[in-house]
Amino acid sequence: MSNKEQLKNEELQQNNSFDESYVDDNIATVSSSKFKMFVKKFMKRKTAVIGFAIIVILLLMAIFGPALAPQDPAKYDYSNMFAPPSAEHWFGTDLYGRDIFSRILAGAPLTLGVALSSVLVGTIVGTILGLLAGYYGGWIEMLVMRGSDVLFSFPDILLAIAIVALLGPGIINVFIAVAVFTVPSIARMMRSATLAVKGSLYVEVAQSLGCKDARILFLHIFPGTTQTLIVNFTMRIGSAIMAASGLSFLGFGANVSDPEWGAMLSQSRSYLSTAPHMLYLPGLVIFITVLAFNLFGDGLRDTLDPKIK
Amino acid sequence: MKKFLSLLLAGALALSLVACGGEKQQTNQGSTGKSPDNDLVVALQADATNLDPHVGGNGNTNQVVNEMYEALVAFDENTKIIPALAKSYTVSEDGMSYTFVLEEGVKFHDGEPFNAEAVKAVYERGKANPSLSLSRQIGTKEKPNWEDVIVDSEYQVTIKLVKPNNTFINKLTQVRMVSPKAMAREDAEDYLAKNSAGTGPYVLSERVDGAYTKMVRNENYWREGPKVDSLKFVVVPEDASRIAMLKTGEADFITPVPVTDVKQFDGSSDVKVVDSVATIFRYCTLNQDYTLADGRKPFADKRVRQAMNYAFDSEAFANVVFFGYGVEPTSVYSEALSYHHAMTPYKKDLEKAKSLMKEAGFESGFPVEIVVDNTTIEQRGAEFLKQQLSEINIDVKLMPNESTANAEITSAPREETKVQMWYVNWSSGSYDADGAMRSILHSEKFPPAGYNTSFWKNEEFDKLLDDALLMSDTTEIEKAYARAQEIAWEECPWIFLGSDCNVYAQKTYLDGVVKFPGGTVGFRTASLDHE
Repeated sequence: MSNKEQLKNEELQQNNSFDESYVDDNIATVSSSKFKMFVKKFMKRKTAVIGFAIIVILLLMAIFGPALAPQDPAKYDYSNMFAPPSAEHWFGTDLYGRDIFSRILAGAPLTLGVALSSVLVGTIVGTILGLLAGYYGGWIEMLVMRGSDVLFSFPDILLAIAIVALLGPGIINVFIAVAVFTVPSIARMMRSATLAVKGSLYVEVAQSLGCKDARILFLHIFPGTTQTLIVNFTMRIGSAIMAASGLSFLGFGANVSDPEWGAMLSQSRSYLSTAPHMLYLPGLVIFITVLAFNLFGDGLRDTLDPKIK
Repeated sequence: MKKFLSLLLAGALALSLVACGGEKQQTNQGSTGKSPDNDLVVALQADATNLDPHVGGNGNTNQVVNEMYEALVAFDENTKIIPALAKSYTVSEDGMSYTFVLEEGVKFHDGEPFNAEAVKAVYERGKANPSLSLSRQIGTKEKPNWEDVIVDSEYQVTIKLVKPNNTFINKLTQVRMVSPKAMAREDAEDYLAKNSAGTGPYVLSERVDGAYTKMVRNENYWREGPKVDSLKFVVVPEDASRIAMLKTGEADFITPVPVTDVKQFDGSSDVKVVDSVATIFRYCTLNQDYTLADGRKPFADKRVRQAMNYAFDSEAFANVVFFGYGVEPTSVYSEALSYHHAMTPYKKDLEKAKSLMKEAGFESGFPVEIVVDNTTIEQRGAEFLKQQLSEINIDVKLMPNESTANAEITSAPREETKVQMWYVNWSSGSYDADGAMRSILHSEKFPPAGYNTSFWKNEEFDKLLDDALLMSDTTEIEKAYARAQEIAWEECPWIFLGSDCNVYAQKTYLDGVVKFPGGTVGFRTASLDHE
């Protein structure tokens, strides 16, 4: 390549980057008005708004809950075991006379934290794998997709149990297990989204302008897939809470002394016939939480999908 | 409000009941009702694994097989040896040979007569077939326990031992007599799995594996026998189903009843809940080698070990974990076993516990981990222990795991073990004192040889156990075991937690049921008040 040609190339690239930042700015202004549109559309979906409100309350609970707990969640009182809900103990007391309401509050950061963080980690890994598979194809795609197929061939909870059985019980391992089984579904979803965006004109343009692959992947293709990603992310949280609680219920998860919601259920199950409040109330909280995330996810999908008006 | 009150009352009731055994019943007075028929139905949690009485199996196997087969001697309700097929027995001076005088005129279910030859035939079967559980009692060729069986006369037999062993007579309760004709068959094991050939009060009539075992009354029984026409053991694994069956009258007796479900019988006027002290003893080992980050070994100090026992409220343990169906510990094994020596219990005394901890220099406590099985009841107990120890600043972390995984963790040898504390229980299979203590307290039984995960070693204790095993005089045996228990009680190699109760429930119109150690019951004299 001659010097002149090289110079020309560099010039081109400079021009190119200039152009791009100009375009990015444009996108930013467009998307801010898009966001307003989105909020307007979203607010019309009442169930989704309720879901969102519950999520906000739950997150506040996870952050401030332990401080708000009316009683020490570990304080036992053997003279007041299995007390049904009352003014003093809103949700009653458990098998050691501990205040169930306080334990639910104290357990919120643990339960929600594990679910949110594991889905987040699983999503990040899954997104990267899905983008690579969709963009490059070939052996990378082969590897990622067949790997996902293998993971898909187990039911989620079975896979999680297998992982925890391998690593040993404990909340960290539950986190790993939930993250691992989040990866394949996100990777598969991201791959198909990438394939769709990859064929767009603007990607072809970016390619013909000589953009680096990383740039194309993360600045051009990834933004085009975020709508699907956000929806899936939200929906996964619900199932992650179920899985984490399920594992704790089976005795694979949180330490029994911890007020993790699933572990609370697990401790209470022998008393279904004699002290049902111990089972129903933490169960109800898990139910509402999962429902809220699912409603919110549904609402997001409906709002973001241009095909549904 | 009514429900609230009843729950409160039930709670108060649970708190007021500690200790099991006797006739502690939650019966409501009133009409007792009558049984519609004379067929006794018993719901068990699991099936007997094999009906051949020499093959062995779980507790349910014993429960079922014991109705059809008998041994020379038996246990009574208090784990005392009583005569069965042998009228009486004498022990030789050196403790090496036991001579039995047999009941006369007893016939096996197949019509064969019971005599000294039959006893010898059982011995021969066990010797020839080491895979039978029978060889656990009589020993194997390489390591025999019994030297020989000598037929003195038709109704007198002498069993010679290789060396004296005070547990022999306890173990003899498991050596069930079977018709020599049946044992001589080519297909003896198959035959005995489908037919009964014992001397017991019931004769096998029908069995469906995993579903039920039905027996009819032995019309030629040699002593006072059952008044019911038939006895049927039904397998009902689900707790709630067993309870429902008893309530509706489908079953007349159910075992076990989970302590959490006893309350369900409140208001059932024709049901009574019966319990007996279990042979299981619950304790938590304290590894004397456990070293803190600063190099100190808290459990090597007797004061710390005693402090932990004073901090632990065993009465509350029985109430909280076993709903009152538990017994405060007064020694290192269950009071349902032989030679139990009751001592002053470690009553909860927080002041004393704290001052002992202070003396030992552990006033501010220390962190420690407890290995525990991940079953509900085990975790409930370990969690309770954690709460109790937190009062003397010991910060306990539970390490729940599968029992098989725990078995591996706890069998590591002394140098490698990671066990700091182990929440566990132990029961002696033949209900003898040696079995209750040796494997878990003798210094020869450090893992992997045994389960002494406290790595507690006391030479006097070891010697007492070794000597007592060779004794045959019961008062001397009693003295030796009492002293051994005193030493262990004082030294506190464990936190003593207690024993729980076997809980059963039955219709009030059922009578004559006998409770045996180990949680089985006998229906030999059972009768139903029927229409």
